[in-house]
Amino acid sequence: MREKLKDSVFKIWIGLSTSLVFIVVVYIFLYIFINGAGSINGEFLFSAPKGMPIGSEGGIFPAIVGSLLLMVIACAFASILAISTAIYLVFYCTSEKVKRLIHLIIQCMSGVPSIILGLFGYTLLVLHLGFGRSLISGGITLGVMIFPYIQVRVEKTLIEVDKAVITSSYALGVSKVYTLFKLIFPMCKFDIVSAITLAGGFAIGAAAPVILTAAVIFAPVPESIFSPVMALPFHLYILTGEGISLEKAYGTALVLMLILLVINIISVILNFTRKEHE
Amino acid sequence: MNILEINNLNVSYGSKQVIKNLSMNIEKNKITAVIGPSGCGKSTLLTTLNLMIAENGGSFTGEILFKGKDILSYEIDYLRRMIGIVFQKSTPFPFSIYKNLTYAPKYYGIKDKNRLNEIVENILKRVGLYDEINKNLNMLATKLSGGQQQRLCIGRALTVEPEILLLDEPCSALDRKNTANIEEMLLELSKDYTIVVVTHNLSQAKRISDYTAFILDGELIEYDTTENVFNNPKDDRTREYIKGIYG
Repeated sequence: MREKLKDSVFKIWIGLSTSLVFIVVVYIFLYIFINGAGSINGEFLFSAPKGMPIGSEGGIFPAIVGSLLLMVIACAFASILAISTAIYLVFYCTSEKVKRLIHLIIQCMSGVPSIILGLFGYTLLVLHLGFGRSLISGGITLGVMIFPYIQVRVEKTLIEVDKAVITSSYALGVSKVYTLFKLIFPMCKFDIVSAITLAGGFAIGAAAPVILTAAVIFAPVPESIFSPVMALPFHLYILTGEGISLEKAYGTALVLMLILLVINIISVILNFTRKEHE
Repeated sequence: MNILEINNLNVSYGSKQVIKNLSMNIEKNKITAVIGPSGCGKSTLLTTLNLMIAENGGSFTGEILFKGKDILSYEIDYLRRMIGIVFQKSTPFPFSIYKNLTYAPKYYGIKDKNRLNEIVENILKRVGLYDEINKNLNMLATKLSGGQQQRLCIGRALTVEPEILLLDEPCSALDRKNTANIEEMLLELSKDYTIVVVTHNLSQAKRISDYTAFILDGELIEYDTTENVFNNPKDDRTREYIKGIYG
């Protein structure tokens, strides 16, 4: 009887927790949707900010482009390093000590607050390397931020590949590199791409690293990777922080959320496709 | 003619010695069965022959000659190509049947489509899968039945044109009919290949092999023609094992 009671209490508890989270998420989304949908139109999406103070009219096109470009650079930079690190740890590193050390470093990296990463990017990339506030500085800083995230997931995926299948490949006299590129990557591609897209979503929503390394208020669409950019989270920060236009701020928030939603849906579809393949 | 000569082989994993001072010769184009209770070192013996042992963290002393030359003097890739191995658990790559069979040939530089198609067709015929699946070459290999998967894996090992085929309990997960299919196929293959098969199944060893080696606790107890081992064993331990005492 007591056990039964515990069981029902527990069930109610998890039911309530799940519903609470669900309600909060839906509430935020609906709230932003209702307040922001009105300001979304062709002009808002495809033109630059205008008006006095600037941003009170016009659109957010430069911020959308800037955010997407920052995300692409961050993903490219982080995924190359993260995948290489994961391959090294899983297939080449034989020393447990080295493995533990690298894992420790990656864990520490994932714990660094994003504003500190921003300061790091500012000091190293913007000042010392002379990239200035630019797409490249911001992209790399965001890349450093999402690196641990991609690395951990890719490493997990690689570890989960059936050892017997890999051994069968070696047994054919095939080299390790060929096995990696022709067997292991094709087997893991959906997981890897899904990890990168999710990390991209994480990067696109971050404001702190971008403020110090890439963003200049109301910068136009960048001409090169060394141009400053505008990013959606920063745009949002300016619109609300300076009290420029609450209505445009809701619109911007909605666009940002929709982009994230699309990224997440892509990731879910990729995961689903992978399961279908098995 | 002996294609493999094993002299005073000792194999160990760390401090645990698995094979003790084992010497035997493997005759070309014959089927040699290796029998013995679980954990006696049969599989270890197989993985030592093409140096897969190194991937599992084992080491060996003694001498193994492949066609009269020490196996360590060959490039490891070449050796593994010449001495193919198929494991107990079938391990098709999660790609199409076609890709499974062209994976290794492509690595060895065969790019021509017609040549690849020819290889796939020949292999499927050799392992008796041609009639069953030649229309479904793009099907995922993991969707094949257990017996078909194992035959595909044997086929995949044949795509690199080995001289010796090592089989580690190839039928242990299969039913009678599939086992019979594979046995028939092995008899056919032994015309062109030297086959060493580790098996738990004594009647299987009796049915298909020319020679039988009995291993107990890492020692070679008896090695002779299959007929002699089963009908007239010289060692009491062999006799007891065959009667089913060690199980």
